[in-house]
Amino acid sequence: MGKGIDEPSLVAAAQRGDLDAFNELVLLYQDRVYNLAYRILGDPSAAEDATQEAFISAYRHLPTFRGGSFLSWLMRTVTNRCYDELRRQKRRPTVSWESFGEMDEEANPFLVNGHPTPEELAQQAELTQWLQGAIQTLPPDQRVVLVLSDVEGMNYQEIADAVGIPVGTVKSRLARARARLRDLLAARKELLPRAYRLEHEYAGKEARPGKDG
Amino acid sequence: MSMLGKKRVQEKTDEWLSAYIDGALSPRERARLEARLAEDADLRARLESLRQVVVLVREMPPVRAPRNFLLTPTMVQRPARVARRLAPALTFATALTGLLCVILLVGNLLAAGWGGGGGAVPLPMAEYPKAPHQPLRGPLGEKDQETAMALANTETPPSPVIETPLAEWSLLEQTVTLEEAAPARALEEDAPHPLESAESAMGGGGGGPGLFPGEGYGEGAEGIGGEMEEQEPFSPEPREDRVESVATLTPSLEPTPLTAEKIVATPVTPSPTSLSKPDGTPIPVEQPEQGPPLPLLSWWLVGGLALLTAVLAVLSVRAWRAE
Repeated sequence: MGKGIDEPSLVAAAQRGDLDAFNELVLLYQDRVYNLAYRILGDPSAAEDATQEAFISAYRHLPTFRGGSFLSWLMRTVTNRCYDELRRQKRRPTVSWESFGEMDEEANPFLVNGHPTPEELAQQAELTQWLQGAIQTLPPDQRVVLVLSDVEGMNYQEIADAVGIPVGTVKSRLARARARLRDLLAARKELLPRAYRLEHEYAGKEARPGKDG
Repeated sequence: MSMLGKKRVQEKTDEWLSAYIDGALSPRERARLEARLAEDADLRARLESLRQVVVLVREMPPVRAPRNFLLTPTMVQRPARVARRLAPALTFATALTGLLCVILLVGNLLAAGWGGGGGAVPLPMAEYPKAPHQPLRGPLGEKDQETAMALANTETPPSPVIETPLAEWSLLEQTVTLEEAAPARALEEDAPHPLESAESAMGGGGGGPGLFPGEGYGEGAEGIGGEMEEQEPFSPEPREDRVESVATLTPSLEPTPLTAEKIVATPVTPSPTSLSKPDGTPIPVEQPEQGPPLPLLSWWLVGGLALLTAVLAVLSVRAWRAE
């Protein structure tokens, strides 16, 4: 992290039961951990709970930490907490894949404004919000892999280790997640800032007929 | 190509493109894909649309933690406390089952020591010790005797639960009928009789002639426990003896061997085989097949309790060690 903090010695101290040392690690990584939880769960309070539980779980399981990257290990712990949470949520349905694509702006809870967005409004914020909602429509397995890869920047092997699946599975889940987002995006091109619009849009050819120019 | 097949091909293509974006293809795969991309505009457009998604997701600004997630000592120790709270209860349960196990074990050993020791070696009649005729199981034996007494008083045949060997059964019945019907029995009191001596030994010397049948029933009831073996060798012989003596000494009964046999035969209707030999040859007494059922069950119980105690002990040790 390059903050002049000696991570290995903090980890070693925490492993000996030094809670203050562990709390320094918490302060160091809580943004990363919360961001991951939020992108996977899509809900601030659920992400908060998952973050807190992940740190508690990490502290308790510190004796099982056998060196390597502490951050990776921590991220794995958070991912597992998020998986638990998603399994709990499975009983109550989230936004479905179809309904999200069909939703107009008024009905879409992930859009701040129901009205056509003026250029000067923060288009990036809106897009981010839309993307966050789109990610939530992905099946949990694909969602987790996509967030670990494209939000956290992990490589296939790291994701495979974190989730406990083969690299080949990571590959196919990631491809399916990206393809779904692409199809969703093709129906909502007006959200894209001009700079992001593609010259030749492949997705446009497969998208529904009512596309704008 | 079917819809499903087409979809599968598209999925496979996306997989290649996705891996290509991540630089995760082998050099050979990459070369092949790039060759296809060079001549296929649709594939290029597909790649770009996918790459766009990746870029968009990567550029999502990270959210910051809304608060600090610092841990407090209570947060970290909570579940251990739960385990600790369970520890005393677990220890108590361990002690309880352990105690119960020991009590049962001792009880079983005592019971096995009496029943097994006497039952293993059939002693000659003359050397019959008194010890084997103590009640097999303390309070239960007494109870048996009580019920036996009650049975004797009402003079109804014992319930089928009491699986007295039939030969002995007939002996007991015979004695009952003889005592009822023969005042002349008094004549015989003085004469030392092989059966008499055996019986007095069996009954522990207690009880007069009137009590005798009750004692007999008691013995029968207890016999299930394993004393049958002891009684087996003598019971058929004295029967013969007795029948003869009755025949000679109680003329009022007109005791032809036939009537004697009738008397004997009536109560034992359930099993004609045991009395099919009127000559009184020793009939092998059938042993109860299940052996001593109650002690066996008790052993299983002891084993189960021991196992339970062990499991509880392990659990409580772990509960105490939890910090």
